[in-house]
Amino acid sequence: MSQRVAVTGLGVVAPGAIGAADFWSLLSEGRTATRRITFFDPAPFRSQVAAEIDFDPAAMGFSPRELRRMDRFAQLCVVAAREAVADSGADFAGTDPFRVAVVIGSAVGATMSLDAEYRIVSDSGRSWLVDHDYGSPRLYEQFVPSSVAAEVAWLVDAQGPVCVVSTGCTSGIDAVAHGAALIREGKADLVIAGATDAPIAPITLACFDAIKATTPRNDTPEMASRPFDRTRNGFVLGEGAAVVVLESVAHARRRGARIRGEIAGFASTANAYHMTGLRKDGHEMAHAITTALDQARIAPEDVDYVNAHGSGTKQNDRHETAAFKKSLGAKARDVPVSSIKSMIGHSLGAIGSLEIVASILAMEHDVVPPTANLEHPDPECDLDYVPVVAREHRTDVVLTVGSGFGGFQSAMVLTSGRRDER
Amino acid sequence: MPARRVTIEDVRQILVEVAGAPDPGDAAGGVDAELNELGYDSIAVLAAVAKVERDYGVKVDEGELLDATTLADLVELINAA
Amino acid sequence: MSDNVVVTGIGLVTPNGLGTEDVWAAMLAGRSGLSTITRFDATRYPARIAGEVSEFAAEQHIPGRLIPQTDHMTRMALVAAESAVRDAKVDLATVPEFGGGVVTAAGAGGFEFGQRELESLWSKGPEYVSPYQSFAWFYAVNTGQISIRHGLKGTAGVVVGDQAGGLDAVAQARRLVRAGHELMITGGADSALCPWGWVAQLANNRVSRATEPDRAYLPFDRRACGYVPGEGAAMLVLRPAERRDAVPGYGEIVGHAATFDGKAARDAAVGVRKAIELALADAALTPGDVDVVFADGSGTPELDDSEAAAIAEVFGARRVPVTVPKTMVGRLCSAGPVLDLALALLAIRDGVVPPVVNSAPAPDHVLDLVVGEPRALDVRTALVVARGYGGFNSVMVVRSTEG
Repeated sequence: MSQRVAVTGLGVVAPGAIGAADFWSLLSEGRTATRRITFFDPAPFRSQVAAEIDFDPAAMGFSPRELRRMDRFAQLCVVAAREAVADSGADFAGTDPFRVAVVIGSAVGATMSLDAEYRIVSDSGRSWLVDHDYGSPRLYEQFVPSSVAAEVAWLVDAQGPVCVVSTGCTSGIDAVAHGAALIREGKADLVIAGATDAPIAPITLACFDAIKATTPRNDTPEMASRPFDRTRNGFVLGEGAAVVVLESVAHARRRGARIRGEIAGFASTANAYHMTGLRKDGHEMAHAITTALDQARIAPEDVDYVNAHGSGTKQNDRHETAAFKKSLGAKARDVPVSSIKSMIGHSLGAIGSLEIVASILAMEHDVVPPTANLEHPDPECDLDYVPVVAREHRTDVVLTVGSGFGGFQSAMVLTSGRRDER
Repeated sequence: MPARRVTIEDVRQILVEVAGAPDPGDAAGGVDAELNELGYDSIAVLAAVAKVERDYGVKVDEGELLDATTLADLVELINAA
Repeated sequence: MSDNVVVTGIGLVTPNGLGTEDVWAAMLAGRSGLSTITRFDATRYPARIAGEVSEFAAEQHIPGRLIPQTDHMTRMALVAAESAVRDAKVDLATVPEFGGGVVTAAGAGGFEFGQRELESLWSKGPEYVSPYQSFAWFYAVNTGQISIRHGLKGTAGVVVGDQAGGLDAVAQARRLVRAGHELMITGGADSALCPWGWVAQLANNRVSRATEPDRAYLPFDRRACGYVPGEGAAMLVLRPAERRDAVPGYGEIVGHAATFDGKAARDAAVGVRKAIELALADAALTPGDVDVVFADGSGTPELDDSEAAAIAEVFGARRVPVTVPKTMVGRLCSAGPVLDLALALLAIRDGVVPPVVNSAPAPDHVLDLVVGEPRALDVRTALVVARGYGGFNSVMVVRSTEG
C-alpha cells in the first residue's frame, strides 16, 4: 500500500521576501518584486529587469569558507532548507541517516559563478585556452551542480538518496515529486525536497535576449511581469529557492507534526515537438493535469485554485489556457487561476517549488494570490486570473503546473492539511 | 536599410551557417518556400536575423518577425530595416 | 503490470568504439581509448591525457539542422539513443502516445558550446550570443532532444549526481516503467573536453597528471595517481518484461540503491557499503548471488581503498571477481556507470568479463581484480558501483532474464 505524502515544513527565499511568512505577505498583498537589474550594468541587454533578492549571505551565518565554496544558488537553497527543517520540527538527528533523502531541483546550477569565473580565466573572452592558474579551487563544485544537494544533505547529515533533478523550468515541481516518490515507496522516512536557481547573470540575459523570451519593458520594471495581460511581451527573470520537508502522513501523525498539505498527485509529459516552442492546443500539459488528478482521485470540479505557470509570454499564456480548458472542462471557467510570477518573476528551476509553497500557503489562509499587473486581459486568455488583488476563497485542493524548455510539462495536485476534516 | 540590398541567396547562406543545412528531402525552396518547410523554426530565424543585424548594422522590426513565414518575407523585412 | 524491468536495447559511443559491438570487442581486446588530448592544445595544462571520442562525425548520424544547436555531448547522446532504439527492435509507433519517456543523467551540460558562447559574450557582446545557448548548455538538453527526435511524450526526467547520476537516471526510468510506462530511453552523456571544461575538472585535484596514457589511470594500484576524464554516451531502452517484443532482452534491472557519504563520515567505506547492501536487498539477492562487480575505480588511493574495503566487507576478501573497464575509456561522468551497466549485460550475454587494463594491483590485494585479460565466467548477476564527486554513491544490480 503506497503512503500518503505530507508536507510538514516550508522554507522560502524569494525576491522581496525571505522566509515563508514574508513570502505570504508579499503574495497576498499583490506586491511586485521586479526591478531594474542592480547586480551589474544591464544597459547592453535588451531586457534589463529582473526579480532580484536582497540577500546578504554574511548575515545568514555562512562562514567565509562556505561562501567561497557555494554559488549563490546553493546559498539560497541552504537558507530555505534550514527554515524548512526548523519549521518541520522533525527529529533529523534521531532518524537513521540512511532514511533521510535530499532532492534539489535546479535548471541552471551555478551559472553566476561559471560566468564570473569564465571571465577571469579567459581574460574576458580573449583566450580560448583559458588559464587554469586563475581558476577558483572550487570550480568543480560549480561545474557539476549536484554540489547543492550535498550542501543541503550536510545540514542534517542525510545519508540516503541525495540527488539533483534538472528538468529545466519544471525542476521545482519534479524535484518535489521525486522526493514524494521516495516516501511513497518507503525508501526514506524524511525527505528534504525543493529547488533553487540564481540565474541573473550576463550569459543568462544574453541567451534569453537572443530568443526574445524576456520582456524589454525596461521603463516600468515593477510592472514588467504581466501574465495573461494583452500588453505582456515576455517573462521577467527571477531567482529564489523553496524547500519543503516531506514524510508519510502516518509518520507525521506519529510524531504529532503539523501537516501543512499533502502531495496528492503528480504527472509530467513532454511535447516531443520543440525545445522552446509550444503547440497551441496544450494537449500534453492537459494530459499531465488529467493524469495528476486521476492519481489524486480528485475530479476537476473539486479543484479550488489553479496556480498557473503564467510566465508572461504570449505563447505560454495561450498554451496554458488551452490546457486548462481541455483538462478541467467547464470547471476551467469557474476556478480562480493566478500566476505568482507576476510578482516574483520566473526563477527557472526554482519557481515550481516556490509555487508549491505558495499553493500550500493559499490553502492555509483560504486566500488566492493575485496575478499582479493584469490590467488589460488578453481576449484569448479568458479565464478568471484573479487580477491585481488577492481573493478570499475556500481552498482545499490546488493544481500547480509548470512548463519548460525541452517541451516538458508538469502538473501536481496538492491538498490541504485539513483534508481528513472534510 | 542595409548598405547593400540583401538577396535571397544571402539569407539562405546565413540560415545554413547559423541553423544548419536543410535535409535534401526538404522542400527545394524557391523564394516563396515556407521557412518551416525548410526546417527553419522561429529560433533559426532569430539566429539568422541576429547575424544579419550584426553583419549589416541594421535593426529588424521585431514585431513583424513572427509574420515572416517565407524566405521572401524575411528578405523584404531585412531590406526594409 | 509486472515489476520486472528489462533492458532491451543498448547504444554506446565511447573513446574506444562506436556502437555496442565495436565497443564490446574493444573492451574484450583491452583496447584503450586514452591518449594525449587533441581537441585543444593541452600542453599548457598540468594534465594532458583524456578519453576522446575521435572518430565520430556527427554529420553522418544526425540531421544537419541539429548541428548548430547542439553540443558535442548532445550529438553523442542522440546517436547512442538512436542505436539503443534500433537495437531494441521496437516500433515506437506501437507505443501509446504518453507511454514512452526519457530520463537522462547529466554532469556538466553542454560545456564546450557554453565556452564558445561565453567567449562571444565577453569578447564581442551580448548580441553575439547564439539563441541556441538558451538550451544547448543546460542539463536537460539531452532528454529534450531525445524526446523530440523519437516522439516520446511520456515523463521526461533529468538527474545530476556526477558519476553516480547515471545509475540514478536508470533507476528513475525503472521506477517509471513500474508505474506504467511501456518504454523508457535512459542513460547518460557527457563531454567537457574543451579548455574551460578541462580547467573546471582540474580544480577537483583528482585528474591524473601523468604524461603517458598507460600510466595515467590505475585504480586499485599502488601507483594510482588520479583519474582520466573521458567523454561519451551510453543509452539503454527499458521495457516491462511482458512487452519486450522480438528481442529476449539483455537482462533485468533487479536492484538499486543510492546513499550519500556524511560530511563527518570517518569511514568512507560506510556509504558505499550501505548502497551495495541496500541494492542487494532491493533485488532480494544475497552477496553470494553476485557473479561480478563493476567497481567505480576512482583511481585516487583513498577512494579506491574505501571502495575495496566496502566490496570486501560485503562479499568477503577475493570472493567475487571485480573489474574496471573504464580504465580503457576514462571516467565518462554521467555516461560512465551506464556504460558499465551495458558491459555487465554483455558479460551476461557472452559469459566473459572485460578487464581492468594498465593497473597492476598488489598480488595480495583484497579484491580479485580481472587484470589485463578478459575472464571467461558464467555471469548471471552483476553489480555496478558508481560514485560521484562530493560523496554520491549509487549501486545497481542486473540479472540474466533466463530462468
